[in-house]
Amino acid sequence: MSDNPNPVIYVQENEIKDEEDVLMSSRYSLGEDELDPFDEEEIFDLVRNITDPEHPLTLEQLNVVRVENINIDIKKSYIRLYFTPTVPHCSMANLIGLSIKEKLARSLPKRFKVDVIVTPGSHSSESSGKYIYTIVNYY
Amino acid sequence: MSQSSQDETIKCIEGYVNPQSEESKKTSSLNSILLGLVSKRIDIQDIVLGLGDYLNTKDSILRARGTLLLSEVLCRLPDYKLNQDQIHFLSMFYCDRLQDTPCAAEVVKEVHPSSLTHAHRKMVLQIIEIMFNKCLGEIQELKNDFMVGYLQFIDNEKDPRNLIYSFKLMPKVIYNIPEHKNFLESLFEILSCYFPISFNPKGNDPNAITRDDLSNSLLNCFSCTPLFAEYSIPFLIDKICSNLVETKIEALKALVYCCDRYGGEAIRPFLEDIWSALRTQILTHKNASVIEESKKTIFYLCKSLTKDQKVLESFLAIMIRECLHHIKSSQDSKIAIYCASILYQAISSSLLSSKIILIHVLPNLFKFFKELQQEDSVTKTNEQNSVLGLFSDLLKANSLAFDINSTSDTEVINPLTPFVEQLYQLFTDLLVNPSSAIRASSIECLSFLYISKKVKTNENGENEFLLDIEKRQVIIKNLVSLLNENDSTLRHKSLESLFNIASNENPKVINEYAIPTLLQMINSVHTDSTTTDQLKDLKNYLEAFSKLCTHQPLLESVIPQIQILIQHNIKDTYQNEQDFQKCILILKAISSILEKSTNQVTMTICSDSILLPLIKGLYKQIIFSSPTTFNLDYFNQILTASLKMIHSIVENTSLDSQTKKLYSLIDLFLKGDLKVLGFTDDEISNKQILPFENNITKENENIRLLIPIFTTCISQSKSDLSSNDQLKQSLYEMSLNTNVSETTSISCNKAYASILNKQPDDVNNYPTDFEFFENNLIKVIKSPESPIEYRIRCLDLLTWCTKALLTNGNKINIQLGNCISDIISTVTDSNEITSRASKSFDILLDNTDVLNEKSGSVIKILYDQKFFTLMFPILLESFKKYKATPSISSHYLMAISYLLRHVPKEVLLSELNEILPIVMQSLKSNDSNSLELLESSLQTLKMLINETPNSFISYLDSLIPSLIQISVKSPQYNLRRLALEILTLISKLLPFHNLFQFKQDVTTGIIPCLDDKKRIVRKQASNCRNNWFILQK
Repeated sequence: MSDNPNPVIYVQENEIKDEEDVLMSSRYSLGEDELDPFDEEEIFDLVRNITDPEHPLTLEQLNVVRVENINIDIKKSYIRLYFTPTVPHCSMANLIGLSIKEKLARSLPKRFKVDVIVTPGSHSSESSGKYIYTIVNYY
Repeated sequence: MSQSSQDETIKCIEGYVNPQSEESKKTSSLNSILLGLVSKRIDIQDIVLGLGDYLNTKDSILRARGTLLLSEVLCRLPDYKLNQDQIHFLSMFYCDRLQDTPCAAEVVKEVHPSSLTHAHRKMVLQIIEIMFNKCLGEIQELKNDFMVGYLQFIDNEKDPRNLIYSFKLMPKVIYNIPEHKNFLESLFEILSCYFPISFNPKGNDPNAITRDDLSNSLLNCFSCTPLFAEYSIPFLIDKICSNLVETKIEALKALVYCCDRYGGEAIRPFLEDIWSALRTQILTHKNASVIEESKKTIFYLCKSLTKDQKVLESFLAIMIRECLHHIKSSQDSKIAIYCASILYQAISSSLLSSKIILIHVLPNLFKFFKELQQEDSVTKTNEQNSVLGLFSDLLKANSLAFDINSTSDTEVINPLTPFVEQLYQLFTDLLVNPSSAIRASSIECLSFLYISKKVKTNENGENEFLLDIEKRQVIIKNLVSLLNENDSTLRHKSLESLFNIASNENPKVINEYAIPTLLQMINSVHTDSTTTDQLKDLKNYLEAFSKLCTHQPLLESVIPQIQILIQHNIKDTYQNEQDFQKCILILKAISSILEKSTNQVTMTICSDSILLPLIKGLYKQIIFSSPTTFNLDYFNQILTASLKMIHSIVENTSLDSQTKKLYSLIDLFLKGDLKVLGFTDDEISNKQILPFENNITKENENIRLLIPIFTTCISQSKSDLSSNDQLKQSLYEMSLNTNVSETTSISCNKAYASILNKQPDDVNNYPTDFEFFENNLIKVIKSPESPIEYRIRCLDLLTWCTKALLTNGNKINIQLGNCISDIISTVTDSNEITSRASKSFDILLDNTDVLNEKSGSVIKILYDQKFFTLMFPILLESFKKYKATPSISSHYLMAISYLLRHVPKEVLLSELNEILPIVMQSLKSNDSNSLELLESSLQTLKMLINETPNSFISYLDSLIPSLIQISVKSPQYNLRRLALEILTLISKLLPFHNLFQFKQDVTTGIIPCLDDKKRIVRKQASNCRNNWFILQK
């Protein structure tokens, strides 16, 4: 039996999926020399669609990851992402953390140091330090 | 008869009767017997004699085959003459056979299936089937004995050919042998071990039994008697709970099928079990397809139970009880939301279930919602919103059930009727709720309540709604007032709802309030004080107006208003930049409305009331402007929007109403007849407006700007204008005029090409013979003495004329194509001309806004494929010939790439061996001016990989490194993105064992793309890299 058989479902923000919308969206500049810097939303786009290990729902729908809980410091090349398990005793928390970590490791350039951390106060064994994943030099 | 032929006959008989003989031997033996009979070498008596012992043997198979031979002979030779005695003898013999059947049945009982080969087992099954057809009475007398023998026989069968036979026989046995009731359990046990069917037919099986065949006939056995329900339903429920996704889905489908055939009474004892199995799947399973299939099962079950109201009621009662419980205990949780979707399925299945559910659920929901509000109206927002979501689901499902299931019979009452007032009150109260999410949900609920109908459609074909007109007006007013809401979700929701309403409501009602208000809002944006905010308001209103106008009947009714809008917004002078911005926004919105409308009737009305006033507006801009006030930039923007409108209108107008307009437009543009537009003499006093005139003074140059209006109309006209030489000459000259802009010249090209395309073949007037083009255009293009601009104009015109003649299948098209190909290598003094010539192959086969079906062009069937098959070898040959001169060969490569882009896939695949090396080569070419070439090769590559991934297996060695190279190094982000996209496609479409060795190369090779400066490239790179990490067998 899963730890939380009945999680609350949250409304999804609009994600750009369609090819045409991508070109129309202001998030993608058109000039050849214009620079699109990394931002929180881009990191969020990478992790929002990861499927929860227990439900046919995404981490976004379960509010495990939120764009507000991502910080990015371009100058220091540092990203910090907090994730929130749906219940404090969730045994899947480390699997979720690892999934996020792996997805980011595969998708981000290596100049970034990334910390994937369980949101303070959201998990019963957070103090054990088991749920902090740091990605450095992962190639 | 000679001894030898007698021996031969006996040999043939032997060959046919012996069950061990091969099929071909049997056939040839039978044929030689038949031939012998026809040629009178032997006669029927010899056969009977020759069969002799076979007809009396105790081996039933041999006896059967002996009899079969005799019967075959008689059936196959219907004209064979028999004498009296022979007939008598044969009839007696066959009468005898009939009495042989009980013995056969005994035989069936005694047969031990395991000792027979599969072909023999099949024969036994055939015999049983024959007995069912011929002597049912005798079999029925065997009662239990038959069943015992039968059961023993069908048990343990593994051969699919026999299985399908046995499955097909089963329903017959059950219908005809009442004693099957004593053996139900064993029967089902034998059947059930085959479920779910796991059988993969070999590709070359001539009997071609498919998995579906087996599966369907097994299902047919399961469902052939309601008495099976006792065993099959628990069995299927057990399978639904199994671990395999495929089994679950198969079992769910089987359950639906069986329950439908058993009928309500038979499944009544299992309702609780069925519900609990389905509920468990929907609420707890992880696989989305299982959840989807379970929901569908609920839908179909409810639908089929409608036949039996009592059973349906008890099933729904269980469902309602549990769903309400979950919804009440946690409204916004996963389970509650899934429960809502269960109710949705059940309601939409039929009116009856809708009625039962709504009566139970709605009062509960009302009460419950009130409790939530009283409890804590602020913190419980998410919960309240979920309940509203449920309300809207219920309304939507009910409308669905009502629309599909009710007939036009007025006696059907919408199950929602008793609750309308209460619902309306609840939702309208919520419109002032502080939470915008709740307001958005209540808007949606209101719109679904609005479109809930009283009866399906009344006698006048109009919808009659549950809500009375006053309430509906209130809803519309509320929605319209929200169209300019700052909160974008709320705004979109109200626009969506309004559109939903408009699509169902009579246009009259929408025209009463919604449209006038919108127009008033659009007009009331004041230009003197226009701030960016007001432009934003305007955009919102225009968006709403355009959206509503996509509903055809509504558009038809607002055409007069659109005309007024156009007149008011093409002004002689604009007060300031904002004023102009406002007008251009409105014009753009109108052009997008017209673009979306393809209804001929509506567009003919548009053509009558909008076209000429629009052109007049544009004329005024030119005629009444002084050089000081005329703003070319403004005019061009207005013109672009207007041309789009003109294009859409002319394109969709019928031929009849087009023709008259065209003639007056020809008068207007070629003869300067301004009265066509309704100008009065005072207004035009002596003005000469002839845009096509050759000698135009400098100050009159602006009137050339009007040309595209005319050419757009001409290119979209469906009628043949080729007899008008003046028209053709004017367009021809303007096309080659180097004093007008390129767009104007191209628009003349298009119009000229459209006329050429429709010119009948037999007419000998110029210019569909090759010499005309040769003398007037091709010579000029090739002569270095002529000014370069003029040569380019000639090339453009040549291209468009070729396209026109290519489309209508004129014989000289390939000659012209050949000339263009020739230009690439012979013109050496101008790179611009060669590159344009190679690009023209893109234009030739591209879908353009002219020369298409809509503009009434003559389109020869498969013209593009024909052109390709002729043109491709020519270009390929030239490419090979000039391989040593890259400046020429790269242009040929471009031309080939352009050609490939427009060729149907089937043709492309047949030329694959020629094409692939070329595409691969162009990927490697490092020519910096060949970026376009690279792009078109990449596009081609993308299409090819999608179509035939496996042809690339042998190229992977060079393909993958080139793609990585491009994705990392290319200066254009579009190319980097395309290369990554192709790499992603490769990872998805090619077999694992071919890709695996490249995994490391790709995942490390594209790392730099993860840090690309363009976000769009990074997005593709991360997608690509993740795909390569998870390559799967």
